[in-house]
Amino acid sequence: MLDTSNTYYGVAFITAPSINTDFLWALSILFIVLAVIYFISVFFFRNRISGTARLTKQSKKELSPMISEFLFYEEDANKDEKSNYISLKIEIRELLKNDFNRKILVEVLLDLRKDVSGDTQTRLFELYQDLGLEKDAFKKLKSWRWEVVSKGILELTQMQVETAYSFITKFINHKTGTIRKQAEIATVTLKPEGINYFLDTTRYKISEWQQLKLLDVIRNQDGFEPPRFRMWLTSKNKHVVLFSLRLIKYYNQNDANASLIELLKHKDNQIKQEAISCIKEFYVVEAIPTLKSIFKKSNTYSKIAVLGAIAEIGSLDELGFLNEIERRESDFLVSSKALLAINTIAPESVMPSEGIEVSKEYVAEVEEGQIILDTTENIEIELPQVSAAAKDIEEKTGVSAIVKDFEKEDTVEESISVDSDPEELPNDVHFNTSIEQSEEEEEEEATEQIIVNTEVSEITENKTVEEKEDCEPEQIEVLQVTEIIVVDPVVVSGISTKIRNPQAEIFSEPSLRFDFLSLVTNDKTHHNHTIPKYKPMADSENTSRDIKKIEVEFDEVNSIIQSDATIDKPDFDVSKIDFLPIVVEEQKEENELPESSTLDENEDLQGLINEINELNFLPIVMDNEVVDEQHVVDTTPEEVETKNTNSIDGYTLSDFEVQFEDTKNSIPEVKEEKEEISEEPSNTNQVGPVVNDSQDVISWLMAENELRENELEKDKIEPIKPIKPFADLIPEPIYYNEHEAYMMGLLDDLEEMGDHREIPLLQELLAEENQSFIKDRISSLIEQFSYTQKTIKKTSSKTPVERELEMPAFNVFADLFKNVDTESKLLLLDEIVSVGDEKEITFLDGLLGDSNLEIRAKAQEVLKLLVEKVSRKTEFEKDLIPRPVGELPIDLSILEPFIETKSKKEYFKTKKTAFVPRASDTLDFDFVLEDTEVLDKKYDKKVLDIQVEANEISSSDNSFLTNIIDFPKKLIGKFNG
Amino acid sequence: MTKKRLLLAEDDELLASLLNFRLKKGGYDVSHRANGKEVKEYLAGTMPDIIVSDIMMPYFSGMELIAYVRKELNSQIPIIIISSAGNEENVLNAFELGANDFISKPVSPSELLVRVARELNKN
Repeated sequence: MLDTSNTYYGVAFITAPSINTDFLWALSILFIVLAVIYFISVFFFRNRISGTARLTKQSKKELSPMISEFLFYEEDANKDEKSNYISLKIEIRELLKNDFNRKILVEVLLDLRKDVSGDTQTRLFELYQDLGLEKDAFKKLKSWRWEVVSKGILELTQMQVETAYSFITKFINHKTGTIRKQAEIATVTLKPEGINYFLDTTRYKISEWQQLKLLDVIRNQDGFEPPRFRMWLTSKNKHVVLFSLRLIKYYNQNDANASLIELLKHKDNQIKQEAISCIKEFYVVEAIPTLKSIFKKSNTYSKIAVLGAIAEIGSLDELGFLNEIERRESDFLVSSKALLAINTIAPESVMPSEGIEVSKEYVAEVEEGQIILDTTENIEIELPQVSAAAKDIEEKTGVSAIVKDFEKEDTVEESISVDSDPEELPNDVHFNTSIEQSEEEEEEEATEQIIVNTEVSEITENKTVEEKEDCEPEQIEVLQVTEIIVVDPVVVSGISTKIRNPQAEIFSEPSLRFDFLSLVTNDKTHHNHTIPKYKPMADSENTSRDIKKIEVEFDEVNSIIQSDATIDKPDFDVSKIDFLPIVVEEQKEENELPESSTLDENEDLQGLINEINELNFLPIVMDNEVVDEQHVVDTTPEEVETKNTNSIDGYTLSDFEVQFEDTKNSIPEVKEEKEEISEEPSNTNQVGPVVNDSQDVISWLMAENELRENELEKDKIEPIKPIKPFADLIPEPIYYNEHEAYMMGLLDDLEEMGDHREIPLLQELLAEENQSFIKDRISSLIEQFSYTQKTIKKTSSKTPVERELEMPAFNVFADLFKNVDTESKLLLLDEIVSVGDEKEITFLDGLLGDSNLEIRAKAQEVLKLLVEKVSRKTEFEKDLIPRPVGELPIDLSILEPFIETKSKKEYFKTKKTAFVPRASDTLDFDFVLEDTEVLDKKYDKKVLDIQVEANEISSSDNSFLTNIIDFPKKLIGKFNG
Repeated sequence: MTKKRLLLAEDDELLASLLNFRLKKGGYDVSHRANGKEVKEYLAGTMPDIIVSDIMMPYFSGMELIAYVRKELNSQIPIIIISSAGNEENVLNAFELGANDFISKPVSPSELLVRVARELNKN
């Protein structure tokens, strides 16, 4: 009920709205009207646009043949073509008065520019400027609308208007991006040096796309010589630096290595990566330390780039760094790249690890003796896998395997000890089970162990693999390097390859020894001391295979001091090596004996030193570098012999250039000699004898080498004369007092602005002056002004007529030339021969230097003919022998030889065909007759109406009859001037 | 001496006009057709001495024109095609169909003239 009542009351409030139908009708009418207006306007504008398009198309159709006519017009065209050309020119000038036509013409030319190339395109550009269409484009540059300005720049760029360069460059730093980009392209396009200006000036970002476009422009520029882009590596605009780097790379400008290395430290990752890319491209090996140093602070992509560069330019020295990164880097991309780099530098130093199973079949193969357990192989197996593998092997073979966890700094060994029966082992597989050591034992025996650098082991491994391939199946054996245990955690960090090799820690008796290889020590400061246990090879001659052919490169063998227990010290007989120089440490004192040396060692050492002292006839060779003294003592004679045999074998001392250098122990005499040669660049590896007299050393050397007959020549170096300092070359300043300064200033002003009227004043000053240099100055000024006065007097003595003659004559042609196009200029030049006189010679002479080749050639022709005409005229007037051409006030030597070859007949033939005035073509001639001096002379109208033909000078036949016939014409010609 | 008849098939009016002018000036009797239909009609009535055709044309492309001339008309008249730069694939196809030469846009009219003369001399 309640609901019903509510509804009832609600309904009661609703009243039907009163609809104003008039208003609705009004609205409807309004919308209908609006719709009609809309449709009408649509139709109107559509028709207008289509009308314009139609008109444009029609105009283009009309204009295109005209343009073709202009483009392919040739100088040697026939008469009809020429007249047609001239009439077209007049027509087009009329058309160009209309803005619409100008617009269409520009459009046509811009369209054609895209479709044509070569000579036609060049003519197109010339036509554009000849018709003055570039003025419209220049107007557009002043517009406030950015799109209009941009269009203007584009038009000028496309039509190669070089004069627009200076206008467009102003837009390089425009706030509107579109204008700026257009201006950048234009600047680079219009002039070859535009790229320099752009890189110097631009303050804004250069987008990647813009860089590509700019590169495309300069790449396609004819005869573009790229500047040295390293100059912009110092730009404050990082985009300029980036673009320069790319250009450096593109143009292979590898003269900026130092800058490239410096840019590696740039904050911007893009620049950094680009610099890395350049370094990689140019193989800048010097950049490797910097690459390593920036690695940590770089982002992922820069890190990848660094690793890529190292992979490309790095050497084996970088393996440690790469291994560390590969091990420590959490980013998969980076660690993966590090692995790639390792594999690039040392191929197959890291083997596939993912998804590699150590299966039962593998062990079975081992049992059957079908597989070589090469401990030196680099198989990447993670530690858990190693353990598993070791277990597998143990289960099958019963061999105790040691797995070291090198990840842990304390090098805890994971020992898997299973009692093994050696008899159960396959015949050819030998495992050394006795090398299991605890950590404590390792520490105790640290000095007894041999540490071999990873690189050495790796190289050895590679070689043993090669060896392995040649082995007979029956002789399968475990190849490994004996007793190589890595104990130094520092070393461990650099030998991940070892870590990954489960078999590497499984030792066996050596079947192949590498200890015959010479020991190579690093001459730099040693971090780790390694001395291989010296065991002479029993029978090196009978070594299986061509073991000697193996190329072994030992980059570094670190040594530790060996105890007597580990070193088989052979009998050391100094007398056997008496031919050798004894190497002692230069900087370290004798008392710097290693702490670990035993008493016995010291005794031996002392004995050895005593023996050496007895051999005082030997020169003591000093090594500049810090060398571990102990190394000398520990070096076994065989090793020394090997070393010396390797190094000296096949040579005599005369083959070596011995340079003497001062040492701490040298005596004063030696020092004196050293001073004499001190100009030479010092060599850190030079050796110096510890003898009283260098002559003794030389004689000893000669005696030892039976070279007494050879004289050692020492170059005496002349001391360089001290260069006079540059400061001395600068003249001493002259300080004037107040009076002098005033006088000098006054005289400067007089010299600049004064003339002969200042002479009395100067004379007065001269009388009053005491300073000699001021007097001199005044005298010179008086002399100077006196000369001017004389010249003026001489000039004033001339008659007004003479003066007038000396003044440059007004030339109507010169005035006309300023405002006409090339075609008109050529036509005017034709007329000069007919109506011109001496006054035109200077003008024509000036035209010989015109930039337009056509005008230049024409001017030469005309000048030649005019000169002839003038000389003939003089002859006629004065009844004298014609003046030689050489006497005329111009230099005819500059006329090109082809003028001589072209006969006058030919010229007039050309001239006649070049322009035949029609009744309608009064435009070209009217101004000539009106503006020349011919009218000033007020000749008879009949004379003026005579066709200006060059017949009066056309005569090449100098026969008498011809002269008589031509005489009246000559007369008329004379009247015409 | 009669002028050699040249059929210029080019849809771009401006370029056609320019080439037409240059070829006429070069001494050829040039007939210009702006699309494939017109070309076909023209060829039905007259066989020119040489055809210079753009590859891209409305109704009847340059390729089809070559195929039409070589296969349907069974004519071996020289055909020079005009192609846009970087359209090497089309050029290769055109050669396979039997085109004699090609010139890429932007066209140098002087170069075209030389190529036309060379092709005519060959025949």
